[in-house]
Amino acid sequence: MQAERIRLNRKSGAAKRYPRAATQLLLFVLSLIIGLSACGGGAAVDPANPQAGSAVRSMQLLTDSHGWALTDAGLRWTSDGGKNWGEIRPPGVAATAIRGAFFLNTDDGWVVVAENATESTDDLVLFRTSDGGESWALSPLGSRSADAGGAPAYIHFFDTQNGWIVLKQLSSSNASVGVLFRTTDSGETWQKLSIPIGEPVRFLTATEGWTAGGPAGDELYLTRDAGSSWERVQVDLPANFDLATPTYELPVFGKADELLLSVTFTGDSSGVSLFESTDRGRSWRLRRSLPYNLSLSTGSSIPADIVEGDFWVVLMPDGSGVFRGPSTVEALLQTSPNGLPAGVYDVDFATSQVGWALLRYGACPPGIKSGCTEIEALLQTTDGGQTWVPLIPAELLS
Amino acid sequence: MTRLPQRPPRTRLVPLVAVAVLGLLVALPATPAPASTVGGSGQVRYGVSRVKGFDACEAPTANKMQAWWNGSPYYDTSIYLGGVNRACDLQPNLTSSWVSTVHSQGWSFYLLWAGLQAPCVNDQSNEKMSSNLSLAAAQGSSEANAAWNAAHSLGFTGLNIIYYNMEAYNTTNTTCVNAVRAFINAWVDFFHQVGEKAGAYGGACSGVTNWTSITNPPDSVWIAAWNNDPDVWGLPCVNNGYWCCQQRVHQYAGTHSETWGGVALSIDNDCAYGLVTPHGHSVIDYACTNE
Repeated sequence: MQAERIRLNRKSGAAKRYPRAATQLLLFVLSLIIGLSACGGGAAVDPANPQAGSAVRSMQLLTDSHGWALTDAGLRWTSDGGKNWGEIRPPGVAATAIRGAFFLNTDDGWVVVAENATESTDDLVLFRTSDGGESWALSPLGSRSADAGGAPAYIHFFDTQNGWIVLKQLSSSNASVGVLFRTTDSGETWQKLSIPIGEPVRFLTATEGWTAGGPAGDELYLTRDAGSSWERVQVDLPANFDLATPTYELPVFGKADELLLSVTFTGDSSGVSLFESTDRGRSWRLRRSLPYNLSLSTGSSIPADIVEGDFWVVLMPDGSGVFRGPSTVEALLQTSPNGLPAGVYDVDFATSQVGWALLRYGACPPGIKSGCTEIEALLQTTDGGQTWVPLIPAELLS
Repeated sequence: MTRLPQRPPRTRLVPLVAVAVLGLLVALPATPAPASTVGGSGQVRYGVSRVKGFDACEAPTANKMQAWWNGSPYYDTSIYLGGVNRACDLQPNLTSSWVSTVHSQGWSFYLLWAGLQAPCVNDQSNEKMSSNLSLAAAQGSSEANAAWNAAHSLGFTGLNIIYYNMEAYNTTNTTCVNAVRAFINAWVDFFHQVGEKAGAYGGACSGVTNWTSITNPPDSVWIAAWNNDPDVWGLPCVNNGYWCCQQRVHQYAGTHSETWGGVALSIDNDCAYGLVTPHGHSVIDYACTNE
């Protein structure tokens, strides 16, 4: 496959057009939410903030100052901790056509785009950059059913050569289906493989990788041959959670080359546990657990991240608390965060101090199921989770 | 062959009118909890829903459902009655008592059966139906019987509509497609024999498109097309002329986390202009039909 090279003027970005009806509706929604109280514990994001009605679909914090966010309006890039944002979307690509993005570092990134939609198929293409989105090279990925056009693509690269893409396929909430693609040449060519579930992958070496999720969130798989075959892995449930259903996250390397794995337990006794493995995932030992004072539904997770080898950060999903600290110490530091409402579902820390979180929460007027408002926002902390502030100014979202 | 009714001409309203209608909706109260209960007299029957709902792998607790009834825009929710391919098979909350309680909160249900899948189903880990047409038809009838029994055991003793959960399959495989058609035909026929309605869930291009011309098409289809637009019309591969008349549910977004009333659930989004059990709702969400 011959890649096509395209240059982008980051400053100019792509033209944005919004139908009048959409603008009217946005104004309408914005007018409605003023006066609505946010739900859940913790301090609320200002409901009149301009992120209402817009979606931040995914994000990645690469360093304490560099990161990207995929929104309904574009693929945004910051190199100063969110003070300023540029547009790095490949030229001619609508933001809504972007199915997934991944950056290995501040230079090397990949984006999957669905284009040329017909009645029954989309063409999927891969854009890759080696200069932080200044320019993009293009290569085709193939086609998939048009009714899966909104399904996400999960990208992961271990290094600039070895990468994987999971194309999630359409399914009910009773199933999770995907197709795996592997490249060993930075995305020039792709090999189609199978994968047991349609969920994100993470490779810790060029051959050892993990995927986790499934309809109930309780499936964890390991490959040792770069995705050609997968084996299911389970951990022993801690005593406090022996009647619970686990929701697995993806493992990361710890300080001593061990693997660390966060697992949420749902049900009457909900909480989150950190497991470690010193035999590359063959067996797992409980390192520590944190109970959650509410019961979580199957498939839900308590957002957690591990940075700097063993620094564990846990955000309680009702916004009531942040736990953080070296995972081996007896007591983690617990804080009641400012600016963290209920509804956080994803977190990404670059250091023990700087992290981003995605939240999605909604509220309806009392006794009325119409006129409900949902807010999706990207938040940042620079003090280890004590305070959170919304990122991305309104003009980049609407 | 049973002809599917044709859809009446669609009225397009200017955006400002749509906004005004939405504004009027704000003043509408939530549907009061229905007086009738599931089961009992057998008089309760399926009805038309024109509002939003969600589907989840496992039935949440009644308390969480109450929080979402009070604090979310959703009116309908799924119940996975059973089937050999039901993923969340523990279902600790799903009892006849839960059904009665949650229905009395105001909810209606998309009843689903996750039985045998297509011989060419994309997820090859599923248990599959036969490629032989006669056997596939017999399996479709058998699955319908099992679903009907499961619904009754949960208290759905009235007239129901139960949707078959048919996951995406390879629609270019003619042998496989014909087996699915025979299966769905028999599924629908069983429910018609007992005086009830039959639905089917599938991808717009990877399922539903194959079911337009079978002898007994589903009475209502639940069409998966993740375009993030609730509208049941204008979906790929399924012309608006098919399942035109209060016969569609649209699954418009895949699994993700949402928090309403302070409670987080992992859900897919749906919008209906179609049949639910035990009855529909008196309110209309125009996002579902864009009219």
